[in-house]
Amino acid sequence: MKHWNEDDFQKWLYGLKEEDSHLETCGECRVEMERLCLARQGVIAAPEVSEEFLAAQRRNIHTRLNHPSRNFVPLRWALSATMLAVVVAGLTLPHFRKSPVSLTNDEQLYSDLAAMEQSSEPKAIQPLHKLFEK
Amino acid sequence: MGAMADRLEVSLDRETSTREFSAWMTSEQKRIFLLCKRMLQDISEADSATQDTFIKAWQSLNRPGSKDLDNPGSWLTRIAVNTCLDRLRSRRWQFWKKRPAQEDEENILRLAASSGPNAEDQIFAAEIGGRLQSALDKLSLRQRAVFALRHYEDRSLADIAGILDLDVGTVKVHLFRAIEKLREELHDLYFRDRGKQ
Repeated sequence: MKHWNEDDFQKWLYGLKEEDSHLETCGECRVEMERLCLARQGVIAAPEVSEEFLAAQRRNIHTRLNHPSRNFVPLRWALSATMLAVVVAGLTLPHFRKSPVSLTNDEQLYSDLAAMEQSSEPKAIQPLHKLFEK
Repeated sequence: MGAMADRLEVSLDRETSTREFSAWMTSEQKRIFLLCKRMLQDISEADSATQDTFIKAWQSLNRPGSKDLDNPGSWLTRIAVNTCLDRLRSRRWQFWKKRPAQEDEENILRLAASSGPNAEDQIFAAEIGGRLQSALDKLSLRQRAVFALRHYEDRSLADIAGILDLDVGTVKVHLFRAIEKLREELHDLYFRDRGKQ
C-alpha cells in the first residue's frame, strides 16, 4: 500500500488531484488530509483590515463617483505627439540644411573666365606673387 | 407635472441604486481589497485598484442596456483581477516607485488578535503567510492571479477559468507551475511540523 506523499497532498489541496481509492482505506493518509485542511483554513484566514481604512476608501469611491476626475488622456496624447514631433524635427532638419550658395551672377562668371583666358600665367601663381610684394 | 414626475422617478431610482450599490460594495470591499493587496503586494496600489474596481463596476452597471448579472461576486472579482493585471503590467515602467513603509502597512492591515492557546501557531501562520506573499513575485502574472484566487479565495478551478476567461486545462497548467515555483514556501506552510506529530 503506497501512501500519498507531499506532492500528492499539495496537488489535492489545490484541486489538481482527485481523491482515490487509497484514501478510502488508509486511515493514516485520511488523518493527514484532515490535518492539512485545518492548517489551510488557519493559514488563509483573512487578516483584519482596519474599519477606518475601509470607511475612508468608501468615501473616496463615493467622491470619485460623484465628481469624476477629468480625463487627461487626450492631453497626454497631444503632449506625446508634440514631443515626438520635436525629436523627429531635431533628427531630420540638419539633413535638409542647404550648403551656402555663391551669389555670382553670369556676367561676373564670364568676365572671370575671359580674364583667365587672356592671362599668360596660370591663376594659381597669383598667391605666390603676393608673397614678394612689399 | 408629467416631466417633473419623471425627473423625480429618475432621481429616486438613482438614489435607490446608489444605496444598493453602497451596501453591496460594503459587503464585498474587504474581500476585493485583500485580493488586490495579495496580487499587487502594495497597500497603496491595492487601495487605488479597489477604488477603480468599484468605479468600473458602477459605470458598467449604469451603462444603458447593461444586463442582470448571474454571479455579481465573480463578475466583480474579474474586474478586480483585470485591474490588478493592468497595474502589474504598467508597474514595469514605474520601477522608481518606492514601497510604503512597513509600519503604515501594519496600521492598515492588522492581523487577528493572537491570544489563546494557539497564539504561536497564528504568529507562525502570519510569518509564513508573509513569506508566501513575497514569493508570489516569482510567478508570472497569470500564475499569480490563478494562485491568488485558488489559495486565498478557495475558488474552484472552473470558477477561476470563468473569472480569467481561460479554459480549465490552462488554469490547471498555471496552477501547477505556480505550485512548483512556490514549493519551498508551501512545504513550510503545510508540512514544516509534520515530524512533531
